[in-house]
Amino acid sequence: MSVEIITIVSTILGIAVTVLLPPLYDGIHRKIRARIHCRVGPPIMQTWYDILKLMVKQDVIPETASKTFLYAPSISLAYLLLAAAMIPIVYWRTVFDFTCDIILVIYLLSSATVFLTLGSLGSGNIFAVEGARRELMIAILTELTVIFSFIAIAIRFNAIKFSSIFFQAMETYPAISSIVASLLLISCAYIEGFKLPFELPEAEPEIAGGSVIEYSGRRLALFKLSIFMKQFLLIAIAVNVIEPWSLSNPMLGLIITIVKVSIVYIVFAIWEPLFGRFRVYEALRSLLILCALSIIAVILSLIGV
Amino acid sequence: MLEIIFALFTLAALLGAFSPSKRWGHRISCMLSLFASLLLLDVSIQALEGSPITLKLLQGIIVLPLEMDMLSAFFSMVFGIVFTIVSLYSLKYIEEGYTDRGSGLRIHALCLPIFMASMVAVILVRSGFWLIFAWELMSLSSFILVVYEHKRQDVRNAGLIYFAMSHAAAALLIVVVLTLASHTSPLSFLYSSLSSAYKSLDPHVAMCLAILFTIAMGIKSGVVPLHFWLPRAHPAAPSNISALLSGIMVKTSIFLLLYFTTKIFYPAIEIGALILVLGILSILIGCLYAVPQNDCKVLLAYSTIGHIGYIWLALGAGLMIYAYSGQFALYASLLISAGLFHLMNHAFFKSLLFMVTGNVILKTETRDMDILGGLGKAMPFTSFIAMIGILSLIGLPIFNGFASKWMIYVTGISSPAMDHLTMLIHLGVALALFGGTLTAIYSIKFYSEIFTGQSRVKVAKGDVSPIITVPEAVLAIACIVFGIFPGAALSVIFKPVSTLIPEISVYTLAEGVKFYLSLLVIPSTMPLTSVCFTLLAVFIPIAFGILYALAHPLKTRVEAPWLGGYKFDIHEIKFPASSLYAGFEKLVSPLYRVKFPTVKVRYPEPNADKVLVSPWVKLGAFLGEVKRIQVGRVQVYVGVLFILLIIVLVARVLG
Repeated sequence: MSVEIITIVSTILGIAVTVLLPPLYDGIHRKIRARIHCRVGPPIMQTWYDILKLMVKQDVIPETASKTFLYAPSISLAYLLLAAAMIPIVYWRTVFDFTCDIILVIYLLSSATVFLTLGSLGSGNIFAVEGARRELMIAILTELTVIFSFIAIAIRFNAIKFSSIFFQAMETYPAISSIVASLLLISCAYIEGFKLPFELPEAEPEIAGGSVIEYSGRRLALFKLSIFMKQFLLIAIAVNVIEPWSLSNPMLGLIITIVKVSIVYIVFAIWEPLFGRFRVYEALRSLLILCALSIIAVILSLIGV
Repeated sequence: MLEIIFALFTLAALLGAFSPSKRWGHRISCMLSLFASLLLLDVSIQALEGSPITLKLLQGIIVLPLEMDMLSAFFSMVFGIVFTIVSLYSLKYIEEGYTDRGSGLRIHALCLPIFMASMVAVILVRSGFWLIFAWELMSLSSFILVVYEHKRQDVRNAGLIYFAMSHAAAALLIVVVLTLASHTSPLSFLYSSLSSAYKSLDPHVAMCLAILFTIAMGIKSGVVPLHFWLPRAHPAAPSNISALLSGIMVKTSIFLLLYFTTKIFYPAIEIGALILVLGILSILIGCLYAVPQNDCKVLLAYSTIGHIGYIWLALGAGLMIYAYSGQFALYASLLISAGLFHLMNHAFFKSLLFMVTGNVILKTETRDMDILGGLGKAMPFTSFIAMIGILSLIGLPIFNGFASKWMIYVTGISSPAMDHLTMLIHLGVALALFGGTLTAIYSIKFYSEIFTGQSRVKVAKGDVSPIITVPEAVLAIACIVFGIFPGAALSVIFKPVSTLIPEISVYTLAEGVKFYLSLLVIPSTMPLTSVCFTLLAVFIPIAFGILYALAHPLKTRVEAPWLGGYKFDIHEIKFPASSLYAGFEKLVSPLYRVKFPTVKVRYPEPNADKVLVSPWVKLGAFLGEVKRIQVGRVQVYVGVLFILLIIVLVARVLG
């Protein structure tokens, strides 16, 4: 098989993995959490069943909704699909191999957040506004962390595009700075996936679903899928930076990536039941620690550690 | 051609001010400005195609040379587009919103064309003497337009601060020009003579002059820490004027900065670094201070500071790299191109957003985002345009803001190794990325607090007049077009850049873009289309396909929003804009307490009254007394004549 065909196949594989796996991981997450709560818990496929069921439900739309409410979930999904096509998930390069695609990916991921919050704000429900503003305030600090982590990785491998980064990562040993940066990316993924103690935007007992309160049917399914996909993409980048050697072969990469990401999700699932929800200000203040760590990661990579 | 443009602007001003009907005078003034702007656009496009225009008026020491070279032509093109739109917009906007302000219409009709003409003059003149003249004319006419609503105390304060700061900039400019001119022999204010004078100066003096000049331009651009006038003056003006101030006027100083630092001064690392650092500061402070604003125009004004920061960052880094070594000229010219590209895009979307705020003010007569809200239902077209505007402002992929910002990031990151200077550029790019996040935050606030949610003011349904919305729509289309085809804009921008940095040709730049910015341009297949757009063109239909392919047989149900089971009047429970990001503002509150330099306003009114106003008041009172003799009875007139006759006779006898 020539290199081009492998690249094309691995890109399509990457997109497929990004769409199909995240709900499954959420199912695993729910199962483990239920077990820790001494419940039986739903089957692992439950999140997928939920999404498929939502897909065929009748739409209910609030009378205060604006156009952004109607179209935002689809647009954010489109941005995330594009991001999935550009991030090497199962192979060290993709078809869309451009200079400085790192910054494009940062922008695509935050574009998805922008549209999801615009959708919530567009619903005209005050609970949704509360959810969206929490999401945005958290996003400011997590974005800062993500930016500095990417910069630390870029400085470590002296490259600003994914293919060069992973190509060099496969050649060399992992450095402390890139591992710290990857762990920070994973933490950001945890926070952006609205897990406790950062489950502020949706906070079911407090603001009744918050940002998703007015969404229903297909739009809710796309909204949920977008959040899952965004989380998955950040994790995928991070674990591939920590362990890049399996990316030399798409099939091996696929299997190992699934395993690596599973480990991360299992840690998430064990981690989450330990916490209650932060108050908004506490959450923001604790995120400052992540920002500080990301700056330390940049300094470490500048030193060359 | 150039003299016709200026003649048309002058004619517009005169007809506007002195025509018998206020309303028609205003209309004629706007229409003539429109024609002049279209002519300017036409001339600039011709000049960009390779026929620079030069013109010399007057003789002797005050010779007035006008030149439209590539750089001026590029700026004129941007100016022409925005002027055309704003002229058309002003036509209806000022009439609808500001008619009850006495002689306001006349003053507006007089000053708007003069303001536009003086901004064009600043970028076309090639003589220090006339530069100062045009600069002062620009400051004065814009000051009069800023204090259009002069009956309000805050507007007067803002206007006076603006006037003071404009003159601080003008004073520095005069110092620089006169110092340079004093070293010419014979005395000449021509740029070419100033340039040779600069090169003969002592290096330390030369450096001081360049720094003074940068500070002067910094004041006019509103870079931190010289920015304090901008968030007061820009919102105080009527929205069409704010669009010109934020979209165009701050760019004249960037033109001068670029022109002087490359063509008159010799490139210096220190100047580039100064511009770069001021740019970084502006990005951070501008974006951070935009977040807590509740007045939508103040928010946009702070956002202008942030975006001017992006442009200064790119230009400063470019100049610094160019000064460091001539062999990095390609990076330098790519960075300068990125800056100019962002300048153009910013002119488009910021004018657009200020004009959109104008629509909102026309409809609701308030700018307070605590009160505004839910206008998306009443003004669907305006809200759609505003959406395009803020998406360009945030810089989402496929909008023009993304193309230029991304170009700044990429060229900044891939800049060559130059000791510690590279680290400064990289730091700048990292902070600019964070500034992008903050931009998203305040843009979302701007849109959602005005157009979605619930309002506390009741507004009538129905959008504003199409004469107002259609010009805005043109700018919105421009935002999308230059986002989808950034190559089209870049092919224009490379021409002036290759004249500024002679080592690099347009062809080399185009090759450089293919190498460094392959994302923006697909080299062979689709020469001008951005890759982003091509990809999104595939994915957006897929995402929407999921939404509509599975359409449910039952009709979509519309229900009241769920508010915890209670029945509220939906208008009573609006989330106020001031508390939208309260947590974040508390977190970074130390940064909001930074004291920036500012000037205090004190009115010289009492004295001015004594000298200027009260004699006329007394004269009026006296004439009122004189009027009493006109009572309409012949006997009184005969009596007055008789008395006068006696006085004359007595005078005759005595004299």
